[in-house]
Amino acid sequence: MNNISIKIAGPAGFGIKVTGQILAKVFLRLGADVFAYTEYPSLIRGGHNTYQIDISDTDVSSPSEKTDILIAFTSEALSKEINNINNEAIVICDEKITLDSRLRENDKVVMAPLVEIAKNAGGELMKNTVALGLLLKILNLPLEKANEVLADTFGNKGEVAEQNKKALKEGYEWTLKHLNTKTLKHLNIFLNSLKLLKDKNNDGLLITGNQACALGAIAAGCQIYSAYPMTPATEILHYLEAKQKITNMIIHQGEDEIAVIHSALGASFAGARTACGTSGGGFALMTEGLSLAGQLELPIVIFEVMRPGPATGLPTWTEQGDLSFVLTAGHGDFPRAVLAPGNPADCFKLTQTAFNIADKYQIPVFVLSDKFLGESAYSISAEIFDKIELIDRGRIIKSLKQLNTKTLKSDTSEIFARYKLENDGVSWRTIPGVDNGEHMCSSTEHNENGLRCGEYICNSDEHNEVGFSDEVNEVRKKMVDKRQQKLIELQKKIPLPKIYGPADAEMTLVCWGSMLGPCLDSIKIQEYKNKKINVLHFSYIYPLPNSLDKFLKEFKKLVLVENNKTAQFGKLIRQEIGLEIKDKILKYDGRPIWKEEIIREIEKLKN
Amino acid sequence: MSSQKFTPQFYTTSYLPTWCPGCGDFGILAAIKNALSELQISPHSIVIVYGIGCAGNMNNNIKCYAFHSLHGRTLPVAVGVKLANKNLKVITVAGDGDYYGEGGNHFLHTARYNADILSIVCNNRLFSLTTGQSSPTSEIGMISKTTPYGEIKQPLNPIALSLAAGATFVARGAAFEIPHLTDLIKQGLEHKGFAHIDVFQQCVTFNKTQTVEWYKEKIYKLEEAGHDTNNFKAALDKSLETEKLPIGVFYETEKPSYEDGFEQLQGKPLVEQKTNYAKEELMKEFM
Repeated sequence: MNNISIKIAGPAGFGIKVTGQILAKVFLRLGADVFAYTEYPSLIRGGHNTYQIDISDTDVSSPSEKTDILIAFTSEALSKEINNINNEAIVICDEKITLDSRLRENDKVVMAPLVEIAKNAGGELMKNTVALGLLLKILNLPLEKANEVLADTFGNKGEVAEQNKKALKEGYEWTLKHLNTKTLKHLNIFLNSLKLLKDKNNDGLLITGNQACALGAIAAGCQIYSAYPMTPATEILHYLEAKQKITNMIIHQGEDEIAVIHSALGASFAGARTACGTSGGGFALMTEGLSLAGQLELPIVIFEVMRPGPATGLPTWTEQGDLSFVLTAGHGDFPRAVLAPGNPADCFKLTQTAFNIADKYQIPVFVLSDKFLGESAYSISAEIFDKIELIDRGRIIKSLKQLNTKTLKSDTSEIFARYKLENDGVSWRTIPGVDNGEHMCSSTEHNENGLRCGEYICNSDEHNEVGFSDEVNEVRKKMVDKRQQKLIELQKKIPLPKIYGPADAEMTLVCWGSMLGPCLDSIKIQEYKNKKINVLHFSYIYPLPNSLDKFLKEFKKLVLVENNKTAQFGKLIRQEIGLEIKDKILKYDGRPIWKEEIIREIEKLKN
Repeated sequence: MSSQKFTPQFYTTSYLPTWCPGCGDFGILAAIKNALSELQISPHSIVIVYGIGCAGNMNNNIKCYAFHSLHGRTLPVAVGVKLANKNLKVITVAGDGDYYGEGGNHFLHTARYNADILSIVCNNRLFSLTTGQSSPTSEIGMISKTTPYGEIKQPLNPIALSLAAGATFVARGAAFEIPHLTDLIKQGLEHKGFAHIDVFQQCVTFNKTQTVEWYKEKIYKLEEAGHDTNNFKAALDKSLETEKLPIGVFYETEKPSYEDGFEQLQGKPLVEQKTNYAKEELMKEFM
């Protein structure tokens, strides 16, 4: 695996992210695999923002711990990143900034008049684009792809587009005039591999986990998305809001997260496919609504994009710290499902699955991701987005004709028996109002034509089969059993976790959700390729598959990798099947686990 | 069928109300059924979202689509129902503790959205299902289980609050004035936008101060007092009266409702539409 890592660093408001995205897309269009990771504090101006791009000739799905190239826009940015650069790194900065004394002799520092060139091209703000042009020439890459991406970003015409184009060109020419790029030997291997990829027919996309979840919701036919802004889940809301005229979805920004989940449940009751989304703090407010969904047996999908808590915690950083919370949130016993995608392809696929599970079993389903997966951009094939799962709305009655079928006619209650006991615990439900131009059952028709009525009570009180409030002990027990039966049925359908890497491994990294990327990349590191380590990734978190107990016994040595303090997934496995994974790699400093850290920890475990 | 297709009895389930004899909720229940019947609204197109409390227990008694929600949450549920199917008549029924206390934030915002919902608030100035505690509308000095030495907090003013928040139909009724309340509910149902009806309601078991007799001495009807329902400032003035208590319509105005603001909802209701996964178009920005 040939890999190179580039980081752009500077204060918020310097256009770090836009520049990073443009560069990432240039590499993508040249046929490389790209992974883009961003760090930023919770503020709008100032601070220290970074956009890191890892480029590879093979799948890359995590950031490197240290970078090969650093573009630093201020002295502060340089100082903050000086410990995060590799030996023999290239450092690009403006000629006027103060250099850090910690720079080493063999680091290649390129001091260029970025600001001056930018001003000549039309404005200081374009120093990013100048640096981009400069870097492209250092890497010996053609200018035309960058011009294409610039045009897609800023448009083909107008002052901004022209100025950026000029800034790019002048940065490129500055390198041509002032640098001897042949001395940058350590990049040559990579550049050669990149040449091979140039002619590849590339249908790659650069997409974040949040965007892939949003696309999954659209593909699943989600009709209403209800949310309140909260980092790092907000991108889902932004994206769906922006696309509503294309998708025909209704996006509702409620007054708080309590309102958000209740509106989603109201819409679900009225027959729409619905989802809501938030991060841990917002989900804390949603928990009574979760419990309500359990009692009412209403389908709903909840995106929980985790960030480090407790309380406000680290708003713009990452952690897998809400798993235990999501598993137990909401008062009372009721079934739920938790899915945790490992990458954007998984986000797209599992989001669709989540909607189908929610409808089929009439339960709340979580899509659990985090800032790392949600906001990092991965290069993936566009074909992934052709894979549409058939929409299954479950036992939903959409017309009078359907209501009057044999199965349902046997019911003679005065209102529709919404919570009728079925072997698998899933009852039929009707939808208020009309469908297919046909009146959906009112009680008159019941009287005159012997047809059933559809009206029912969606009751948060414990209720009987008809839906009336009922506190009789046998009724209560039956209803609890009925609801729990759905979890038993669902569990039968849960697939086993996926194995990546050699089958006959001596050691297996057990991970879930977003930690797939770092784990996969760690076993790809050159010197570890032949060490017989594989990765076992769980994306179906709850319920766990039935035969997991037997399945896990086949592995020689399990090492748990989690982005939290208390090994929350390890605890779930122990709780469900009585197996304790003793060896653990845990990280909880707000950053994802770097692949290099995993390797270092593996070394420690071996000793 | 004649115009009597849906009689008040038609909306009645076999489930008997669980309220104390003499409870104001009986009057409110009757007025709701009368109004639905007079407007001949088919049960299949009605969704009533109930809160938790004595009023919320009406959930078992009216034959229509019922959503028994949680304490304070009737409004967000109703907003979701309306967004999913704008053709439904959506009503919320909740008590004062539920609606003005736990659900206070939702009240302000749903009024602001002007969602096309009719809210009926059964205001007995107490928490009663929990056996009598002070509520957001209890008067200063009210003795209850949680205010054994008298309430010291000021009550909130539901009508003034509703007006300030932007409700487009604001009214007050009384549980013991059934024909009058029926008429208010009819107007509320026919109003496009957020309609709020606060209902004076006796609690025969726990509120020994604001009894039917007490109310009857104080109330007067706005429509008999020449009140201009299109005058916002006059409505606000009326809402601040405390010696005599006006009932009737304080204010009504026309504004676009929340769901009408969506281009996607100009035609069919959302539940009858399909989400469009326009892959080619959506992929462009990721290339």
